[in-house]
Amino acid sequence: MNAIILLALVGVFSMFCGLFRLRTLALPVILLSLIASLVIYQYNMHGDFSNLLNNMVRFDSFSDSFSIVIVFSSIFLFIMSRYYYSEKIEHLTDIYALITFSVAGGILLVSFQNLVMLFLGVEILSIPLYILAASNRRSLESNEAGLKYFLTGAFFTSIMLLGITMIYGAYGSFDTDQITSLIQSQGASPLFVLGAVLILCAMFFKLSAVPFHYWAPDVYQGAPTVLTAYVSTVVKIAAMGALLKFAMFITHYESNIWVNLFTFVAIITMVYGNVVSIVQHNFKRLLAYSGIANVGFVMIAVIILNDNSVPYILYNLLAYTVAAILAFSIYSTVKTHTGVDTIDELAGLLTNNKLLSAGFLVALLSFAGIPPLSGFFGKYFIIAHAVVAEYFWLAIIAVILSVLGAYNYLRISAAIVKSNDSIPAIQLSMPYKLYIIGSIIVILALGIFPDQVLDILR
Amino acid sequence: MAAALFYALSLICIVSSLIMIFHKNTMYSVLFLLVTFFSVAGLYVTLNAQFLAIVHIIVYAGAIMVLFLYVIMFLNMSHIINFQKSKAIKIAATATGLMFLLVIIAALSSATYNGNVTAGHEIGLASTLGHIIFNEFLIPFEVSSILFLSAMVGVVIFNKKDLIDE
Repeated sequence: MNAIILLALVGVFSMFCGLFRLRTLALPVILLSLIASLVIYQYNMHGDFSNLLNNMVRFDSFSDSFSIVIVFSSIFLFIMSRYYYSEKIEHLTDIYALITFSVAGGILLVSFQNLVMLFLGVEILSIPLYILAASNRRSLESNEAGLKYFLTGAFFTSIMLLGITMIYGAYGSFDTDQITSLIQSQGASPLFVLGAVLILCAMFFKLSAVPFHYWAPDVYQGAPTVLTAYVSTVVKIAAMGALLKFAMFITHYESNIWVNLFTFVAIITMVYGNVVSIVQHNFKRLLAYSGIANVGFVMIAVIILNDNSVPYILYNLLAYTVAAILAFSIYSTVKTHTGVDTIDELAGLLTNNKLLSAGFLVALLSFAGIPPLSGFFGKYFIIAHAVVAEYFWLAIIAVILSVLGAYNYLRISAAIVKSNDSIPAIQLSMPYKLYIIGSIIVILALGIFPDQVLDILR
Repeated sequence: MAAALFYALSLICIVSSLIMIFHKNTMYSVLFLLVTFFSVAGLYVTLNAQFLAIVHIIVYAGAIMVLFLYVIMFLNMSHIINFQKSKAIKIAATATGLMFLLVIIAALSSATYNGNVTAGHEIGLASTLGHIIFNEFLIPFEVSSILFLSAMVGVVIFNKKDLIDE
């Protein structure tokens, strides 16, 4: 709870920074508070709120691991946003505040213990996203992205509320512990199954899993790149945490239905994401589809759902997140300086921009799953998890589709290393160079010490 | 008496919400939405939830209704609009909606109910509600302030003039 309070207060502080013309102060304070939240989670300093909590949220090892990954990823995101937004944007501090609020919502979402908190967590996570997607007011595409995201998001919010109402109607309680004991004593009501399916639909929407994926490419393409990076990484970690927690809750009721449902969604998501991304030319759209594919991939671990699922899922998401934020950041730098938009136009980036290309290539090869980069172990753990749990055919499908996905990333990599000097050299500031080098080191470190990382995430 | 009132209010509610959906003129739709809101508020009163009924009228029939009316006035939608949709979409939408209706009816009909629920006399009073909000639901109540704050920030971002750019 301390971390959530801290982040909410820092968000308010950031808005005051904008009011008193102290823009430069906002970002360092936010970064410090994120590091402080990491410390809070690492050393379990949640504060004593036991008489107030009423089992609304619970901070256990599950929510701690997810929160650590969420906060850690958002540190990278904030550094990226420092270089994405020029100092001259009027609402810079408000945008920082919105992202901070959204991170707090993500932490709430992965610690929910009561369906009311599930709903509030999803909303606190999403409302800032709708605003940020449309925050580039001059751009028609950004406005379209914001409106589309808002309308579909509002629709799925109502579906989630309907689901929560069904479950409340069946058991007369919002508390997951009470509902679990009621299910065990009096059996599951059909209303409960219907409600759970509706809530899962809303979660699949947040994760952009097929068949609720259709918003993702348009929103990713139109929205400001920082928001795209945020939606495809931190939001997905939070939504996956909520899905995992909810899956653990509903499997108290006969698990066959849920395994079939998750298997169906995982397979069509993987197939759709990987196959459709082959024909994409816009980089942001391609990453949207690759994000969809990755969600399907991660969902394999949700199907199996045992003690090892949580660290494996987190490792995969963390590896994906660091690489995706780096790729989005470099792409937006290249785009603002040269106006490059499609993948073909990236040809010959390596000739004049060695560091940018190195960062880009590391991120792409990590997506493709080339060892020793972190993406390889992200995929390896999930596939090994499926094999150990004897889901051989699922593992085979996953391997075939990740080879297909690797083609995409290698296609962009091949374009970058072409000998062609159409892209001029881009001047980078020293801190930005350090950020790229730091991200590369993190991607390598995650890949070289996977066991140590898994121990932290456990 | 109470049963007759319940059936009358329910009938008004269902009929007016159907008219709201099927009427081609948006102005009439909004007016029938208003009727729906009032009849639902009446249902709350029969369930002893006076406070909820008042809030429902103030928030929905007051604030949200004004918002709807303003939007209709701004968009100049008082004339009848004919949406052009392809047949395939219409059929798919109808089929999906009917399937969902079937699932809901199936779930409702096979669910078991624990007898009639009688509402307590205290249940709808503001003080009872306050006790629940500030004891059991304190954390959600406090946390929702972040939600409303970010929504307000959004309004400011969209409507304030960009002083630096211009």
